[in-house]
Amino acid sequence: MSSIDAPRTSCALGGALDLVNSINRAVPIIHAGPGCGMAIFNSNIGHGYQYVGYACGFALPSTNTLEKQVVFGGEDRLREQIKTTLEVIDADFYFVVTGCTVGLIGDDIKAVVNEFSGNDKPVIFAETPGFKGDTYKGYDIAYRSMIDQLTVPSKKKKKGVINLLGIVPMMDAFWQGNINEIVRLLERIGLKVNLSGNGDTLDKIRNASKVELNVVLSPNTGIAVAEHFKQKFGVPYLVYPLPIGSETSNFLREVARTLHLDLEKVEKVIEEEEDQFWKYLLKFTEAHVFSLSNKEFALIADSGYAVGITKFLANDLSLTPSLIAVTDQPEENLKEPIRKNISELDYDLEPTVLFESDNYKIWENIKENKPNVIFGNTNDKIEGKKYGISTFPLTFPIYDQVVLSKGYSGYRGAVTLAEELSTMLISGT
Amino acid sequence: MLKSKSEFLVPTREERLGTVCAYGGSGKDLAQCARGGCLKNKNRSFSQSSACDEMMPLLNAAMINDNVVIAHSPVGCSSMIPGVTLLYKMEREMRELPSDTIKAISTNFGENEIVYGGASELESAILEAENRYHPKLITIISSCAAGIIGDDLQAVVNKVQPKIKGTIIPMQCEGFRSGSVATGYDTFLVALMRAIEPPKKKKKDTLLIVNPLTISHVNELEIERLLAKVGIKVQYFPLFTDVANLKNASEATGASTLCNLMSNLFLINMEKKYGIPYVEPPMPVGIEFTNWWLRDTAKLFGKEQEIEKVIKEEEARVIPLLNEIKSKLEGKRAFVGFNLARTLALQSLLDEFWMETAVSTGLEYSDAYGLAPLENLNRRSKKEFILQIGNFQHFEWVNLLAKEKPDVLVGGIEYCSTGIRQGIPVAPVLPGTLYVGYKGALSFGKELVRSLKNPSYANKISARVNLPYRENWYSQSPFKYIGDNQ
Repeated sequence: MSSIDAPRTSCALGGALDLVNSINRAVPIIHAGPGCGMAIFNSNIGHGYQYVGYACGFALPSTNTLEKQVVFGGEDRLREQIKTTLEVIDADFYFVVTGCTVGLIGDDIKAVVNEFSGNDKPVIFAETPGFKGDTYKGYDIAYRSMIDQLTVPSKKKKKGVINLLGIVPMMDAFWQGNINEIVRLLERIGLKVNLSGNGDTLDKIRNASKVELNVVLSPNTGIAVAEHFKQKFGVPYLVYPLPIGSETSNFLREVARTLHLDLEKVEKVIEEEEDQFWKYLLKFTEAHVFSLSNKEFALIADSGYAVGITKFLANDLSLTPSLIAVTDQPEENLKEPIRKNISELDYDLEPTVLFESDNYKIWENIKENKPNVIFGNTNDKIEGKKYGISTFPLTFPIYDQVVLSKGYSGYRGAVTLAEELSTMLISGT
Repeated sequence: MLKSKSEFLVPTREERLGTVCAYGGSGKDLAQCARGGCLKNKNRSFSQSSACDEMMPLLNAAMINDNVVIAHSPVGCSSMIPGVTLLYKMEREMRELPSDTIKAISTNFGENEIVYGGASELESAILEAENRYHPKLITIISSCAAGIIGDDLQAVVNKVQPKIKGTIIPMQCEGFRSGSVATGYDTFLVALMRAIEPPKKKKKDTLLIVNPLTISHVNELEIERLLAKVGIKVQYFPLFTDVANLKNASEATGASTLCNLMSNLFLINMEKKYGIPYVEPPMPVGIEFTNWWLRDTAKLFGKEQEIEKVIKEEEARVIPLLNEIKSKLEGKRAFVGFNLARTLALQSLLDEFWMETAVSTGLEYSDAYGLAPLENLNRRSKKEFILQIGNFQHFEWVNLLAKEKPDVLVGGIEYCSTGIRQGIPVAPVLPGTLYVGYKGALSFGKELVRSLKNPSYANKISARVNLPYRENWYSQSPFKYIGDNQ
């Protein structure tokens, strides 16, 4: 893989840990070199300083493999660590995730983990050495392994129950707020969300095959998981990138159509929500004139955000998208649908869509055609300042603000985004 | 298979100094054992994530001016860069350096590199670094993956150096090499010696000070103020320093350190190679250790008498003020959490406030930097204190905090957040915290007083926290899992 200047993700192990840490009373057991867990914990500063995880952030059980294990193998060390972790730590399940070292020395993880199959609390595993890919990839790998080992097959589907996939906890610093808003709206149209990505439990994972539909909120991440669900448990899926602003209405309609809900009722909910949403944006017209009218923006984000943010800014707020840099690395066959999804806007706007992870190359493009505002990360903010461009912090790493509960999805999140965006431009920060 | 081809591979701290990465017991027992020769390095059969050998070179190299860091690794090893960028930003602002991002490139090891080797990717990353930033220095940081597949960093450097204007320095610091983070410091500092040129002239009255990332510039200013009084000029090595000032480090009159945990092998090698005499006193925190540091350092310049005058002046000014603080802190019990070089120094300051240290921690212990301050404290402390030596290891801290119930936790961010979640107010030592020297003693004393005044956040949060440990963990020995591991 080619080198990356100022990476905007962590590795596969990072994605796996983000997933495990988002689950209630789940504890990872890292089978890797001593620094992996700590390095990935440190990256949390870049997720808006969030301390997340039942197992206390940096205190994740870890085999800390040194030269001895590299030379002689790490299976005995892993066995010992699982045993002692079960003694010390009280969890609903234990999730062994692996790093580069053991990926290279070829430990038989499955065999060691299977020795604990009789334990009253499940011990499962995923092979997630960093060299397998980025955070998004790691999330997919770990998620698939998790459902393989925990989810109970069921032919019976519960009507009106769905799973949400595709938002990588932490990697999206606003994951909790984003998920909560989508769940709120889905509940309003009469659905129940089983796995949402926020506050999931062992029970919900076990029952995850009983849902009617998986909704993937990213045009890249989570699709592999949904496909796996489909093949293994016969659950169909719908890919719909995180909706923001009035696009949320289309999202709700699509979900409603797919599940054959009462469309009239759904339209009533949409009308109520849009009414509220536009009332707030009406209050905003002066501020819009002052700070946003006719502004051009560039967006540097993973594909999940790339679609939703572009649609909201262009279709609801009349901003002009110039460059949309997609920073996760979707497979070739996913790129065209993503490009189409970003470019299909209500008016004839033609943003340049660039699939690029390398920060330097992204910035070469931005410098060529300087926008008025950038949606990116804290590094972009520092870089943007050099050219007098304001940057809205949205993606990893965000290390100059604290994110606790807010999100930018749906109707309410879009109002927050409008508020903060115009505040930033008015105050000149 | 793992032995490097590089002549620049430093010995691990375990090999060179008999460094111990796992110990639990009293400070007194540790010192006695060290003297008696019975101290042995151990492991843990239960462990939690920790710092690794790759971290120190990666994070510290990022703090050198005009340097591009190339992390020769999968992309995850660079995860910690964002976290320190904030620190980088703050520290640069304090030094009135222009705001910028850290220039760091990951070679983004994938399965392809695992099979075919990462040399060509590294080569192109170096060329990209040159084209993009024209840096004066390029530091290459190795990783577990690169080490295991056996990439020869030096060969790549030899090949591309003719095309590169700046100096390229490879750092062989695979995360699995050593359990001691200080090995990473040795790797980092000794590798940087390749940027140092033979002296053109010897500077007079110039002290080379090794500065760690965690002693903020506010503290360096206090040291500069004190040394200026006796006519000693300061040159820092290597953080926030221009490459030109790394190159001429060989011209210094003498060398000292603000962190004797990190500087040891570098100072030895600098003396060997350039004849620069050095001292390695404990960190100058609190009156006693500050005096110790100043006396040792002044000796390098034959300024023993001059420094006594400074010490006398400063003490006369500060001690009455410290006595006021002392009356508010006397008898309070503390848990001091950080690396040992710093915890012992902080402990010395707490002792001067007549506080009691219940527990002190360290990431590792070796006689080279630990024994003298430890014996000093053992002598001075009214009660014995517990020492926890471990590369982090949260489960031991929570056990100790639950048992000892200190009034305050003094230390680094991971320790402090742990304290808060167990209902203990904190006096954090952060970037920007002034705690070095006489000014630092006063300033940090006031911080300690404030920390005890309003524990509301710790009280309320701790009532809501469910730590993941089993109930019976708290009744067992915190050091139960120290021994041999598999």
